[in-house]
Amino acid sequence: MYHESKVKKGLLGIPKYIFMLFFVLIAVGPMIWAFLSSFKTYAEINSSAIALPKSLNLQNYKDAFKYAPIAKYFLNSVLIVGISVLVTVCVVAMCAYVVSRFRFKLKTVIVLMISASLMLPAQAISQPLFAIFKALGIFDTKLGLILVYSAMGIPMSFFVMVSYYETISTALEESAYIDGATFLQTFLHIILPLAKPGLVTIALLQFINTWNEFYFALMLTSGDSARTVPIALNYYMGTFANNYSALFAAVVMTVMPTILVFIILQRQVMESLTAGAVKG
Amino acid sequence: MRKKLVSVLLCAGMIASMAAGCGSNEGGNSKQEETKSSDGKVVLNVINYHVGTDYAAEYYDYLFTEFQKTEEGKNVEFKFEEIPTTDAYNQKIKLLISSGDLPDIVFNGGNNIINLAVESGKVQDLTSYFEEDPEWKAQFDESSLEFNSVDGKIYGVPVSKEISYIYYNKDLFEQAGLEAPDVAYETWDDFFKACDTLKEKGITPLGMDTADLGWLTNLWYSGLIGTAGDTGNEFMNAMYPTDYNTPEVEKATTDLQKMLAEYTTADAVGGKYDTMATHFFNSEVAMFPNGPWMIPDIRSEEKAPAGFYDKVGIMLLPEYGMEMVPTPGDMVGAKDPEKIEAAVAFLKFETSIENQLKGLEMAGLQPVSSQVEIPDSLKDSDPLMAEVLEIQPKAKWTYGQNQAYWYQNVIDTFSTELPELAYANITPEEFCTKLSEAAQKN
Amino acid sequence: MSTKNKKVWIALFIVPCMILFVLIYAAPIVTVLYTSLCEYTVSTSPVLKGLENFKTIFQDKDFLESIKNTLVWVVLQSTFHVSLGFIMALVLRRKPKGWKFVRTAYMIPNIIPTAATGVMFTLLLNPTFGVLKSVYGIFGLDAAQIPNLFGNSKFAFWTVTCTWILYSGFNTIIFLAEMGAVDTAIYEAARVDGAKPWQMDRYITIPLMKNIFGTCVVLASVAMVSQFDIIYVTTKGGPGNSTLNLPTYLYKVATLENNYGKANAVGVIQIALGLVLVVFIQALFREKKMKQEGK
Repeated sequence: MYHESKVKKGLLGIPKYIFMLFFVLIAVGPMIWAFLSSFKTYAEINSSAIALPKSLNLQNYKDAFKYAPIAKYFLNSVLIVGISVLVTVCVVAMCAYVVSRFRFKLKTVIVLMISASLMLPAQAISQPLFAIFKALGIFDTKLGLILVYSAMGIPMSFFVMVSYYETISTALEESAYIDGATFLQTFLHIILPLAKPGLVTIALLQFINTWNEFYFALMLTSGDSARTVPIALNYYMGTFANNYSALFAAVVMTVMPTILVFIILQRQVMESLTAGAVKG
Repeated sequence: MRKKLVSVLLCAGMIASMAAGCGSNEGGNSKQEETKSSDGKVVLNVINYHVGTDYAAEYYDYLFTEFQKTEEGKNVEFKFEEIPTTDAYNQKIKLLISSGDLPDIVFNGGNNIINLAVESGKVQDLTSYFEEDPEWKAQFDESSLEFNSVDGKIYGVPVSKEISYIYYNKDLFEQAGLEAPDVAYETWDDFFKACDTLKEKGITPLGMDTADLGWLTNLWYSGLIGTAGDTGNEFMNAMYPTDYNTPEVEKATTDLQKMLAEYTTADAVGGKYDTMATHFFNSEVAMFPNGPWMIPDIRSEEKAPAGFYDKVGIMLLPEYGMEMVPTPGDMVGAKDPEKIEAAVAFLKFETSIENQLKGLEMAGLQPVSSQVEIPDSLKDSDPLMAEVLEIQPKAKWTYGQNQAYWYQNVIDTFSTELPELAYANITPEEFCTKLSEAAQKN
Repeated sequence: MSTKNKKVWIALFIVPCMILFVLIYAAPIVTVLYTSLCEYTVSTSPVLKGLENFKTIFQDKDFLESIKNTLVWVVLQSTFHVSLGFIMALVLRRKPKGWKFVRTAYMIPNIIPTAATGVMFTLLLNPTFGVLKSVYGIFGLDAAQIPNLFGNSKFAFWTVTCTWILYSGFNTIIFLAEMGAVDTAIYEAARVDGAKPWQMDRYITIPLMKNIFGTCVVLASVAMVSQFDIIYVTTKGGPGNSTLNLPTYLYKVATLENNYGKANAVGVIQIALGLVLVVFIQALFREKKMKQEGK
């Protein structure tokens, strides 16, 4: 009996691993391919997609630095995206909590407004924003982009967070209030710890959505001080003069550190996953 | 509990101060309207798209540095905004036309920018500067200036001419037992016969593409139309045509359909320029239409195999056709008189005889002025380029190409409908109707 | 806690979000709505014209095609794509060997810049030297038959779809977070009662995920209504109009026709479509949820 179930379990496990393997392959494959391509020459890249690079020369990495201020733009990206993630998470954590728990005037209006902005085309936003930013003196500043990105992240994060809060039972809060805790205390000590997986999730979503943002980064800046990685990549794509090799070198250099951040953040999620069991 | 609260507050405070810091660091930048720098120099704002891997990046770098060494330029300080790729550049310029101020010198990235800029009233009429300096004006031929004028006023300073012709691979022609004509195939029939011969020998005759506006295919197409008698030639020299259902265009489309289906590589449909150029460098296609800016690539051993340069010959399109358009010129967006002076001075410097020659050498830019004399040394240093200059006067037909003369959305329709034409999902007539429909949306 | 006090806190919690929101979105929303009713181009100021722009776009075949494509993508994304993320989460939830690696690896495609992804796919699927060439080689098939996946309108739509539909790491993360929040005691009790793993998923996990499923479906549909970058860098909406969707159409009207009034009319349609989807999907899932609770 014991044996039988173990065998059965093992057999069932095979499709599961094939499933996992398939998705790991299609997910990691392109990145490995980009890594290999970053050592290829122009001719190699444009004449065979699957051949291995003929040599492991680092010329493309040198070129990547030569053609574009990639290091500076990377630091800008880290600052701008990093802070905007923090801002979105803080702001949405509070707003979504209130919306998911309480009835109040204007609630429907707020939800509708946020829903509508989910879909606003960037093209249409850029002109009024350009004027507003000039007037406020935040055109071509990191602050400007941080504000746009934080706002851009609100709708998505809001939906995820409201739904997450709804899964948290109200019983704990009620008993906290009975014990005389204030609104803020309850939020900080009861709700936030329980909502941690949700918060980490929206942080990840916000990170992904803003890390590759190109249009606003181009339209709302005019100099090196606030430009980000996606713009740097354009430096390798000149008319009649693409340098895909340098492009892939730059992609490898900018994506690797972000993968590290991911691994660290995901460890956080995992911790909270196991912590989640405590929740009543 | 207090500790937690404090940490939250600290965090919030940190974010606020960091954000404020980010804002104030660059606060000075936002006041772009300053005319003079702290040391009394005239500040010119420039948005430069010749950066990164752009083919003329080095040349423009040279121009800016050298200008500041001249009498007119020594009191000028440039303030650059770099925007890589003309696509991104044009988007930004359109935003500025619609809701901001244009840079003091407005480089022309194509895209019918002149008309839009003039309509918005944000660029200067330069006619008087040309009148005051007849010597400068005399450098340009009438058509180049006319191309850069709106209602008889000159707004753009043309900096070069764009020409294109056919590069062919001598080795492949030899393999097929073909002798390439001295200047051009007499007729398109001869040309197609040659294509058939190449194909029989297992050699793909033509380089074509459809993505990124289908540049190569566009060059074949304008050749087909531009050499189709006076009517066709007129059509290909006209700005913003709206009716594409003419016999010449429909005939050209039929030929183009055949070329896409039979004479080019399997990846031409949906393909981009770079991949197609590599096919030519690797001797996988025999003929490739393009302009002189490709010569540095043909020479570079990074892109083409060593010795490839010597294998390449040049001919005009069949029936002695050559694409030639004045480039859309650079404009002045400055409003302050001192800045306007300085900007015009730069444009004069950019178009000086010496710098046109420099542009030819460094970036393959064809001189816009017929006064530029080509030194004999070019024959030794760059024989292919010398050949390009020699073959130009032999053209019987010259005409434009769609990216210079047609509406933006027509060019886009051309590029997105080409695959449908290639796979015969639409007929040549339907293709032309789609172009006409797009043109009428403007 | 007094209700008055509570009201103050509610306000305090909402204000930061609203300030940010109003600063960035208020003016644009108003501008889009107003200028959609105007004749308005790159070089001219808006002049009120009524519903002219809407009439024009609804007569445009390309616009209608773009709506169709957008809706097909919404349906595919909110069903297949979300389910894929869900299945992956179900698999990873049991923490099989290497699950941490899979979880991280599955997210990687999301952080590769779109411009690079586009170049990658076009090169990999190139019919003369791409992956298919070697696949055909291995099976001894005729190389002349290799399909041109981006270039031929027969395949282009599905090829473009494949550049995103399999990459559901986003949803996996959301589901995993939500699954972690389920009280393990429930599973413990079920196991004691002799429930099989698939039964636990069927009767415990799935019902509990209804809420977050709704959210994921909303996010997936919304993402499809505003999908732009990857289409722009691979096919630009072509061949023909086979991969044209609303944002690509809008982009073309704005940048190629320079017609901002018409573009913003498309923008209004896009916002309206998004709102309808959000409201509809939420209603759909809420109803189910209520039924569930009613049982």
